[in-house]
Amino acid sequence: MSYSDLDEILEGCRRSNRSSQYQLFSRFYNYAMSVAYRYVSNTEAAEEVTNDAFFKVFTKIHLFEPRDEGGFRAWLRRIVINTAIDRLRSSINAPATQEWRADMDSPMESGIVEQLTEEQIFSLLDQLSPAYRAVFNLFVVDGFSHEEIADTLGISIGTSKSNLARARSRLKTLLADELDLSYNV
Amino acid sequence: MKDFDQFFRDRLDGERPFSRRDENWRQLSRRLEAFDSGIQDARPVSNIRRWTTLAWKVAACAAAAATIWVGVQNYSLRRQNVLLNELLTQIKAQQTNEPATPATQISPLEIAAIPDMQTHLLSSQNDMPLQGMESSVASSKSDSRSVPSENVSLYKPAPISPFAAGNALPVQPTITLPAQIDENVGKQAMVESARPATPAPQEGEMSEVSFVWEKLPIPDSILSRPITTTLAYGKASVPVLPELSIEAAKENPPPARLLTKPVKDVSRVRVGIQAVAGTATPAESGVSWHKGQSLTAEIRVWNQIWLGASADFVQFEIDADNNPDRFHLPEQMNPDPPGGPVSHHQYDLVRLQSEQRQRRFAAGVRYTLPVRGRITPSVQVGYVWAQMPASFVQYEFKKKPHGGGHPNPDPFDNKFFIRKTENHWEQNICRFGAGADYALGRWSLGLTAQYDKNFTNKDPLFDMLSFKLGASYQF
Repeated sequence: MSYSDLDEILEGCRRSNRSSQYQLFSRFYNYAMSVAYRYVSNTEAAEEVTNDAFFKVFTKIHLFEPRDEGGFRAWLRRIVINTAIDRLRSSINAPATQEWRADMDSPMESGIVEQLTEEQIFSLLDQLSPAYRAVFNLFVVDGFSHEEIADTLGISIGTSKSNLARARSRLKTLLADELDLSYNV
Repeated sequence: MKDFDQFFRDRLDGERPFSRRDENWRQLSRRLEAFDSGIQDARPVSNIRRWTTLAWKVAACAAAAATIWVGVQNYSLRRQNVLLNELLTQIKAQQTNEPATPATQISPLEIAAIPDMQTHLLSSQNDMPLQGMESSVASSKSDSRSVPSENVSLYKPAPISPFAAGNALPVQPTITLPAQIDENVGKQAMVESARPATPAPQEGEMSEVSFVWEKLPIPDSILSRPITTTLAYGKASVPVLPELSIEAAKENPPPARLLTKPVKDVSRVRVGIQAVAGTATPAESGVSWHKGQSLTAEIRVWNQIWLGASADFVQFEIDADNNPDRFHLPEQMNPDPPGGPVSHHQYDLVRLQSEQRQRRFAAGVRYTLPVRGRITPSVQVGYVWAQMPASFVQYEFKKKPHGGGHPNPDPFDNKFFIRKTENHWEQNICRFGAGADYALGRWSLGLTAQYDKNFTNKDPLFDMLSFKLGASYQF
């Protein structure tokens, strides 16, 4: 489907045409679910986040200025992330207490985790606390800066860095356990 | 570090396939229809929220049941207190008006009216010597309450009263202190017989009633009332009785202990909580089981006849590919123009969805069959008022491939219509049921099958065959 097709679908969505909305939903359902699943790590919760996000998309579609499909993807991604963060906000803010120190980051040997499957990766992510998982996703996967993370989550920049370092450390430990390797963190 | 981040970025940023797309779309389309209709807050209830709500419902039901239980207990206790006060007043009156009466006897009817008291009195009769004991005062469980036996005499052997005759038990022998009792001894008995929490009575306040109190479940609040002062013990109030010797008492040993235990008096009131599962009758395609909970309260009015009321809270879902008769689509919501042959219609109704809740309030009568054993079958009949809260019914129409004689180029051109049904009540519903209870003391487990027949066929209330499984408590 070309961008002109997407543009027509978006135009139909602006007119609240249910068929256009269905096409847009069908086209980006997996994408939105993938983003939501990274934050909530629960299929049922991810479905609710996705539905909430699409509801916002369809009711705020007039705010989106058409550029290209990548632009819409980014817009949808941001909406899904914000919706997931709103859902997790209470649990995200709770454990964020320790400020970041430079020695928290530690090097990692490359090439030891290539053999992990996608399911194993998600199971590792599931074992992070919501606060660590959110910061890790925002920084590593979604490319947010610490300033943006702090603004989005309502925490300090130092806490964002601390949570990221701890998330990395925790993931490395989990990876070592998963791969059964002696691993110096 | 970059390798580490890059690895996770590559693995996590991909797009994965997920199922349940159409189900989620239907849910979202309902929200959008509600939004377009101006109903801003028509958010679907998530499963998590639904379970949370259910947990709160259960907690609320438990709290309500506990409140009722405490209330009934409180009422029962107050009633016992009133009866005990009346009893004590009567004892006082007998003492005052009938000084020659050798014994102050508690009316069997009064004892029977107070279940706990009856139990305690009868058990106390077992504990106390009945006839010929040399000192019934000393026979009390508390050694500190003993009175020198030579100062205590017993009244003649008690006759068999109608009440006691049923249990082959002589009437409680009355303890009477001789008039010539030494004042020092009387003082000792008076002080020692007082309960710890009860203020020590003044000199000369003691009477044989005190010994009865020792065996009654009377709160200290009652014992501490001024009644103790009115039941004055003294030479004037204590009749002069013929003295019996210790040897005479020994010749008449106490009878055998009571073998027949008093029957526990059970209240007429019973409350219960049940889980409900029901199905539409006759079976409707796409209509799920009705599930919920029920609260019941009953009172036994005569032998096996119980009057009762119940409140059933049930919910069910409709996900049908046809249009159930009871959920007919209003004409103005049909996408096809009214009239005309069906072959010219461009849309087919392909799905009807709704989440329905019902509250069924019933009043009726239940007859328990006179069957021996722990299992008690029963039949019941009642009248039901059903409340149907507002709900949404979604109709989904799919455009025919060649609707109206023209090919349809847009396969996604489905139409959705949302209809909001208003909160309303339904009547003309009768309930017929049968069940059985398994008695476990005051508790009982029950399984009941009920059939609710709606005699008004035009409203969206299915006839329901339901089963209730739960527990009841009889006060």
